[in-house]
Amino acid sequence: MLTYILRRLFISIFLVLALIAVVFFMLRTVVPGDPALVLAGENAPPEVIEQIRHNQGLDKPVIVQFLYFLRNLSHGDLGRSSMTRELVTQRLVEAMPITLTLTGLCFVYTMLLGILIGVITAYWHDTWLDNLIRVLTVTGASMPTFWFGLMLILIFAVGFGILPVQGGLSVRGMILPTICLGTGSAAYLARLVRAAMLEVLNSDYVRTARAKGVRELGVVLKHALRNALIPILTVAGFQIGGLLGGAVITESIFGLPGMGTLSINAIHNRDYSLIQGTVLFIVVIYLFVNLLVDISYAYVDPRIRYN
Amino acid sequence: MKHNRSVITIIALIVVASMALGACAPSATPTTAPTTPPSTSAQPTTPSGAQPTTAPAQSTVAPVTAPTTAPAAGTPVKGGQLVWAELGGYYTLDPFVSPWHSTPQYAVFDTMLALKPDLTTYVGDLVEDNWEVTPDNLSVTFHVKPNVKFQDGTPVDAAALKWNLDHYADPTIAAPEGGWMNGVVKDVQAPDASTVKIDLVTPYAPLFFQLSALEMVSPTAYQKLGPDKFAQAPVGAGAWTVKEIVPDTSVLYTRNEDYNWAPTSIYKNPGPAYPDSFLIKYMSDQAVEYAALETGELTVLPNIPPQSLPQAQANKNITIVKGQENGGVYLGFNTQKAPFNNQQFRVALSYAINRDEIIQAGYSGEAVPMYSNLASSEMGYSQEMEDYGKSKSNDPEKAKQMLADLGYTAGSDGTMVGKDGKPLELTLEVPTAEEFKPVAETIQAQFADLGIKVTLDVKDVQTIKQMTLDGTYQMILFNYGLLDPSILTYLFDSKNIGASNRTRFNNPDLDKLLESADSALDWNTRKADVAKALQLLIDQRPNVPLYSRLVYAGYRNDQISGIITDPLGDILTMDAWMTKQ
Repeated sequence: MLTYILRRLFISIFLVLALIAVVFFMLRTVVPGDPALVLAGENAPPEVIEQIRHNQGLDKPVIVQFLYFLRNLSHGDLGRSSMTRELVTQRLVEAMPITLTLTGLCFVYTMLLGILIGVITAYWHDTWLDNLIRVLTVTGASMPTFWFGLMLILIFAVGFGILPVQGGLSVRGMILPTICLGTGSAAYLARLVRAAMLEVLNSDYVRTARAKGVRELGVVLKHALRNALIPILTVAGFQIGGLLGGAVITESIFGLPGMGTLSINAIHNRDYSLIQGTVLFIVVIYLFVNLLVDISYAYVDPRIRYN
Repeated sequence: MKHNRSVITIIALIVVASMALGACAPSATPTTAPTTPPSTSAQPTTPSGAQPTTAPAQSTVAPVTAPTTAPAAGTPVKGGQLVWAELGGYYTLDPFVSPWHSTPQYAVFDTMLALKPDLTTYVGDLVEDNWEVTPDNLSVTFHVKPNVKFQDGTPVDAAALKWNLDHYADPTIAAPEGGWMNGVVKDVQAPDASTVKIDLVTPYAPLFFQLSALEMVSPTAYQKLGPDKFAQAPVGAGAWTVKEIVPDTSVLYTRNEDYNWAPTSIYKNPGPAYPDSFLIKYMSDQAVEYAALETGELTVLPNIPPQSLPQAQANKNITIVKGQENGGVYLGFNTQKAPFNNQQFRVALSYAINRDEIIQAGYSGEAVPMYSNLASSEMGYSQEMEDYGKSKSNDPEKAKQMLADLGYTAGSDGTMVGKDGKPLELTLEVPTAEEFKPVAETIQAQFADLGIKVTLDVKDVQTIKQMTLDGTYQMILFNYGLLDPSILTYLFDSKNIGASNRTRFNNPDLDKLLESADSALDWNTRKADVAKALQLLIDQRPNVPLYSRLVYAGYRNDQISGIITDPLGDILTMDAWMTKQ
């Protein structure tokens, strides 16, 4: 297992570097929009634009810029935001806990709601309840985060007035963002759980458990659900990546100063250092979560071993 | 078994209710708010601090509507928090770096001069109103107001203002706001503690406008902290002191208790401000912004989205302020690229444009047509030129005739074909903002009526800017804005090709006119030059000005009283106090 983890970590480092290199070169060669132009404002004369380009080091060959970047990265220095002059690492450290909190809350919400709905619809499969919930889950999985966020604000903040439009990091403030971001994932997960549970509920050992007189709740939760968890775990790992991506929109709507808001503004301002920093962060988190998911397979199913 | 089924049934009902919540939402769907592209305006939202003066111009500038003061009930009281929305991204509060200068900056920094809400008169902000201009217009002497301090306690004196002006002018700093000083300002002197003398290379009429936009920082704080740390802890001489910055989210200010130098020709209250604190929230979506005003989370919303207007009008707790942007939207041609390098061709196309149709399609009538390059909300606007421009517009038959004169003929399918037999097909670059889509489609249809096929190429605004720098486009739909007529220099002077001259127009006669206009401190002389420039632009058509948008701001009248507004729809809060605390 240790060898496996070390090998994965080693590969991950190369993956991160490769992705960062792709982003670095694409920003400077393919993506249109000159950061010096953004910084110079609308009516700046050409000499001001040129001087800003020089001050930002953007007049150097791209390969030279990349070598500087690698050198600084080896010292843990991701540069400064061209727009706010703050250290990129500082911005990341400030924004990271907010995104992780939102993602964490959404993950818990997704898992609880998704598994609950999945189990219920599997247990009462092909009933009116199952059909109704399936329609709702399809609706939930199809709703664009942006639109759903506005709906939640209209209903709960403007309509009922029970929750704030932008409540920041308070408990009340996190309710709508969590529901907004997590509902789609929960609906998707519910469909998977249902399918996995249906298969397991029809298996011999579940029938045997019932025949032995095990209580129904025990049959469902202990015998069926645990065995249905393997495919669910795989998807759950990917869900975290999806939630991180969805956080970009959700944070923006609800005014949360996390990685999503940071990356949107960085892209809007062509803030190269900040874009690279956010990409680096998201890639690392994504790879780390996938590694954790792989490791957790062995815990959930002792038959799984890694070579 | 039965009991377990009951438990699960209850849980199931809860889950169904939860999901139904999501599913029932569609009935309340709002229209997604269109996003406005970054304005090209360098004109700040009128600072909460203030402004004045002996500017060139006064009598002839026609504001959209008169400035107003809302009826203020009761006596001003201190206390409470004023919450303001800022649409769009967060920009550094370091004025030497930021390309955008708006309420977050002007809350903490004062300027040397200020513009009165009538948008015609400059007055002193950090300096007295009695500045002197030498007869040759090459030197202006300002007198610093006494007993004015930066928020770190250091005095606002001549040396501090000189330091700021020198810093803006330093080419190695490349301050976006100071770009105009290059080749204009010869020297800044501080002969004594209260006198600042600006010597000019050439007379420069926009000087007063520019000085009303340059934020003055505490040199002591800036040098002590350095630019990087100063951006996080800015120190100015404004009505508000920065307490906390959460980048991309909010800036919290507390009242500057020492502040008492707001121009009394603008405000009844010279300072300090009445609210205890001022919170600016950065919001990225107009619908969300409006929702926050509706619930009372916001006190002031500087820009109500058009689709929320009916709702705002129905809310008795929201007062709506109507204004007009200080600029407009135009159809720009790449004048260095065929077929747009042909003046007759450009003029022909301009005749095909029907602005009323465009305004109806894009804004349901909520915009003012522009027939010359200055909107009625900008200084230098000329009704005569507007009429002249109108007389040369909206005549598709004339357009067809002119194209025929150029050798274009209608093909078998009605498509216009050039002398070389190739169909006339053009591409229009359109910013991604939703509001431009119907505008572009209407232009496309109007050109189609001539037999010209136009492809709409929707791109983000930064990409289009880059294309204008590189000259790799045919037509653009773009907006601009600046109160001062020197906007014409930014947009059309040949020295700005590769920068703000997006149409890449190179006309020595126009350059001379603009140079003359920008150096005329006498307003009547300047206005005459500006009018000539406007006429030349109508005749040569490097672009087709289309419309100037009406804008709506709103504030909670159950929370705040004493608001002043100007014709641009700006909301000034120096006299305002919180009635709900």
